[in-house]
Amino acid sequence: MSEPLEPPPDDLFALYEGERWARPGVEVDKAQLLARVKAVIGGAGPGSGSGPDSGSGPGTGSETAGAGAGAGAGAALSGGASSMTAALGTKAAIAIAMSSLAIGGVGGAMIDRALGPEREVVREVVHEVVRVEVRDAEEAPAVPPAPPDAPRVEPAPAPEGPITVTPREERALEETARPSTLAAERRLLDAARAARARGRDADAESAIARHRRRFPDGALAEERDVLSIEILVASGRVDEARREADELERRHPDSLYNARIARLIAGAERAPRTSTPEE
Amino acid sequence: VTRSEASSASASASASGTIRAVGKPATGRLDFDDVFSEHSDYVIRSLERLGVRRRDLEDVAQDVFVALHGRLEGYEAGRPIRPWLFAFAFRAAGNYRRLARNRREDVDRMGTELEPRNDGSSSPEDEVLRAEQRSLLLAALEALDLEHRAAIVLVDIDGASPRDAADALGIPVNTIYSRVRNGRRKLREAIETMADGRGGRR
Repeated sequence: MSEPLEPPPDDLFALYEGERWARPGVEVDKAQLLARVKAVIGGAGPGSGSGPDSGSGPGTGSETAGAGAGAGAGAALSGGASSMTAALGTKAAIAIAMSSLAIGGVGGAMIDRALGPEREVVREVVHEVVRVEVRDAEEAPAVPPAPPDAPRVEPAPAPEGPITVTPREERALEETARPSTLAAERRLLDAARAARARGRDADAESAIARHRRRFPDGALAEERDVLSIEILVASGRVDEARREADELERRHPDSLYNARIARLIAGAERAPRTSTPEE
Repeated sequence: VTRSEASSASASASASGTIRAVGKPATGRLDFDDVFSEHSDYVIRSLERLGVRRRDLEDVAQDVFVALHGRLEGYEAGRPIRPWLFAFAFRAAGNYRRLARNRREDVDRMGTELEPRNDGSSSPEDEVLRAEQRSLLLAALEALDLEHRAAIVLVDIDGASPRDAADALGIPVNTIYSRVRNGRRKLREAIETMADGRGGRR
């Protein structure tokens, strides 16, 4: 046996983190895909209750309200450094890049280096963006949840979603029918992740606690526990993290996450959060 | 808080037809429709991470599920299902990339295709940030060859254990280690290059 793999360095870890939970970048029509597959494999019998509905398993992205929200921004922003910068103007683009990378540190640091004197200006822009977002989040009325499993043909009117789920939203979610349970679960966890991405760990933890209360054995319980452990480790509460990890392993001895969590905790124990592991 | 209640009852979720996302099904015999409905997103996402262009995702996913359909028996009960599924995606992505027209000549594909997705649970700004972050990572992954890329995706992003990853891909675990290590180094170099380009004046 060779020596075990080191945990990824913090900067990459932060990027992985966002990616792990991401939905596919494009909506694939599952019903159509399944139909195509079945056409090739010869129908596979009528036993398939797999119509359009059963195509949406956990995380199918059925919660997606189309590209409505921020689609304009989306088109402009779409990524590749150059096109994004051209479309948005350097400062805005960098501000967004910086805040999106703030958790990872690496991007921020690298952009800092590259920016030189413009850095302070950019910082201001970032702070302004964050302030506006926070204000929006606080002022936004409790938005009705996007119909979780409704066909997403028409772009939903893009609610300005607060990053936490309000009690009213929760009630509304509860009142909706069974199939939305998964969407409700995902919504809470998405809220937790969004809060975390903005460094608002308290909000993230409260969303997680709510998920734990409402869906102790939910379909996404394991995801929730992993997220919770990650937050604990990131905030230096390694002992608590270890306790939760033990519990997770006890309940899901075969979880794919166990190895990763063990590495994460081992890494946190070996080095304080500030230093990145040597490659 | 209510952790004790959250005990082993998770098995009951499986009873209702849900193969746990990262767990394993209770029995060895996989049902194709279950696998499809539970894991098609995972397969599609894996293909995307392995460099299949978005417009081709559905086609390649079709290949994966057709291949999978004939191999359900090959799934070993008790093993985590994702690495096993990933191996199908890996092979399909390899075939895909071997076709000359799919080689990565269009490195900036992300630039034209990635858009924020909003499910209403977060602000448009959030979605934009997430899309930007994804875009950075996916673009950086383009700098890796398929083998390194697969190791990074399966172990670092999916969180599979190196042992499971090695078994699924049919390679020694030491190879996984070195691919992950080298992959991380290359990934970081790619990100730094991109960030330099981004911060620079034009």
